[in-house]
Amino acid sequence: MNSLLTIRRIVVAGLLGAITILLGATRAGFIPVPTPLGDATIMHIPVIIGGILDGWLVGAILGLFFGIFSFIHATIPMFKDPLVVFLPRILIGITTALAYRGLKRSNEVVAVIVATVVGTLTNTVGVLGIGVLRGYLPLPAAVGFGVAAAIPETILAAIIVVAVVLAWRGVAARRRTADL
Amino acid sequence: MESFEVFRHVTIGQYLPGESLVHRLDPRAKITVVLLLIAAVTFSTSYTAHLALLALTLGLIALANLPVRYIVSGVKPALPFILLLALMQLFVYGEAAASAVRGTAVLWQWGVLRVTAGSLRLTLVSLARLLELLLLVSLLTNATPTTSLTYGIESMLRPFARLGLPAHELSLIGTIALRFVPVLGEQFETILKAQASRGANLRLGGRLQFIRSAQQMVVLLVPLFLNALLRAEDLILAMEARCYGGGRGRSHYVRLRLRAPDYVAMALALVFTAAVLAARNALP
Amino acid sequence: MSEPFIRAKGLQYTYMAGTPLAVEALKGVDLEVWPGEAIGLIGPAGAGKSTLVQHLNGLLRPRARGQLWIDGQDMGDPRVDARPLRRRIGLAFQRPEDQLFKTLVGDDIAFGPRQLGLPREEVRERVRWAMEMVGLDFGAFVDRPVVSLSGGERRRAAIAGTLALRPSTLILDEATSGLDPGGRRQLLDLLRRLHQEEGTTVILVTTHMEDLVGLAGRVVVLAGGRTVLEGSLREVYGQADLLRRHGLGVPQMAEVGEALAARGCRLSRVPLTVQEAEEEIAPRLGVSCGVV
Repeated sequence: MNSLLTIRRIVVAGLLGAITILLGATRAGFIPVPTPLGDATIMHIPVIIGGILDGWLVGAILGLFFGIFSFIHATIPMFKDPLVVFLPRILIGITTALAYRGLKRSNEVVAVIVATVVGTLTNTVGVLGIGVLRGYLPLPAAVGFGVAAAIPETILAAIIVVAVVLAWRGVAARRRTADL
Repeated sequence: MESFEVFRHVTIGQYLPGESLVHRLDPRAKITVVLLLIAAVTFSTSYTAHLALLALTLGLIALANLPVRYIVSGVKPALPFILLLALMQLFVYGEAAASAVRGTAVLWQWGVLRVTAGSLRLTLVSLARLLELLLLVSLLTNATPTTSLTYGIESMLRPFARLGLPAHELSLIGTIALRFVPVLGEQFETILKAQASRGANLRLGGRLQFIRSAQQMVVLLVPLFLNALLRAEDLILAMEARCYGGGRGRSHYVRLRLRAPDYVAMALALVFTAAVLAARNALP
Repeated sequence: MSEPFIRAKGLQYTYMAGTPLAVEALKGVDLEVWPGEAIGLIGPAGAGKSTLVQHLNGLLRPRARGQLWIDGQDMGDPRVDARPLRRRIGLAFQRPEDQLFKTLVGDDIAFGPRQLGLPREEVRERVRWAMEMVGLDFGAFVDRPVVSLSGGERRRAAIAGTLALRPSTLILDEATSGLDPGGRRQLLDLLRRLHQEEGTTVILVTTHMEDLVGLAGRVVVLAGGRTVLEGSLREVYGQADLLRRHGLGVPQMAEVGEALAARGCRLSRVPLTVQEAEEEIAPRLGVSCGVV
């Protein structure tokens, strides 16, 4: 038995991968916004949840699932470049897991939020950064698109990831009493 | 009128038993053919290539005796997105598309909205891609039982196992993912219904208002993720209880063997894809 | 109460219509429900019970054939908006995991009332009322994380989430399955109270007929997507052969009555409870069974 890919990691990656396929194949995971880069996405959410709950390897595998979908659905040359499409997506899982692991001892909620922000930004900055380096985009345009995409994606991801991870772990956000 | 029965129509990963030639092909041959054709789908931007690809995939679906109507119903939940995306590509992406794909000619303009030959091509090609991809993935998963798919992927990854790639584990992840797509699709439908029954204002009426807000996403996606994680726990327990110990030294009760039809199918797909890719800038 | 509140006639429903996975779940269901009534809906697995009750709050709508009127509205008419209906007809699903999404119990139960836009105080009152109704102590449970609840507690929290909408009709889909005897009794007591004290119309879907004793005035039996039997508890339980043919069990006391009848000892009525059986049988034993 491979010592890194335990049964737990295989199964969790499989199930969260199923959600990625469900969101990706129906395109429910892409929210069209009018920028030349195409869609805002929630496809990074399973990646981040996997990274937080079961570590960098599960996160990286789920990032690969995400990458496959953007690669296939891509319409512009930048997203036909495997370096642009796969590398940042795989990195999402890894940076998320590392940020979470570094912070979780201080405060669970803060760790989840920071890890989500780190993961989302890894995606935006990674895709656009590599895009600029590979000459697909001028830097100023990349910054503009980046800000436009990162804000809604980060907020959406933070809301959902915090809700899922805290509900799963049973840790109440901020307070320990219901808001009644 | 609202319709909750949408995600049940996700057809990927749903095996439909049959006796067709496609059903009987070796899973490795099917995977190879589908991957080759996906490459052709992904890298072509010419109308001719996509017409040929559409004809070919539809022909294969017919050969496999799979109902096209059923497979196409799988895109129903995504229809609003697809349409919105198509409209945006058509009118807004004109500039970017013109340089990206061949076609700088402006076909229509009204204020900032502009349709170029490039954006028209982009729109039509994306729609064709979506359909071809759906047909191809359905062809593979609807005509191949999950277990033989796993054995197929695993056996194709085996040469890489010498380099330290965990072939068996990775193929298992892929199989679990495919296997649970329809399960979670149906689950998502139940969640929609349960939340609507307790006062969630989902406004499913308008097709363009699929998920409108972060709040709706929380109500729907949180139970979806929690259910997936719960199912994962059950599956982990079940696998551990049956002393699942991974791939090494494990014997299979299915022996895969490539036969003549398998080689023919792979060769034809290779020739087709090579032709389409070689001519991709020459074809209209 | 001259008009039924819900009326279904020849109701049919097919899932995934037009695909190889099509399943004809309902083939012809007739059902009438009067306001203030408590009815039991029984049937073996796969009989179409869940499909039927999902029609009753407008989640599923009649398509080609069959008719359904709810509160005077023709549900086959696509212009009818089912959303207002769902606030008055509450449906609690089988698995609480399909709806619980907040971290804390209180917040989750408050979701429905908040969607109605009620003021804070009113929301709090409703959550408190709903929790007490299902037997979850408000003080002890309101701030508990949902994950820390047992299966039975989760079930009750989910039902409280539906109750907090204060529906005039409550439908429970297999609400008692998987509960321990204590939890089951408590839930059935809750339904009896809702029905008798609050005048709520109750529709209880179950495979356990014992659940219905003392609650349901009428039982509808569903099998193979059709209504096959309808009547009072005693009438339905009197048809033991028919029930068994459809894969349903009969309450043990009714079986005792049947066994006695087979030996030529006919009771004056089908006993439903231990007490009724005792009242029927003791005099025939010809002994006085006083308190020992």
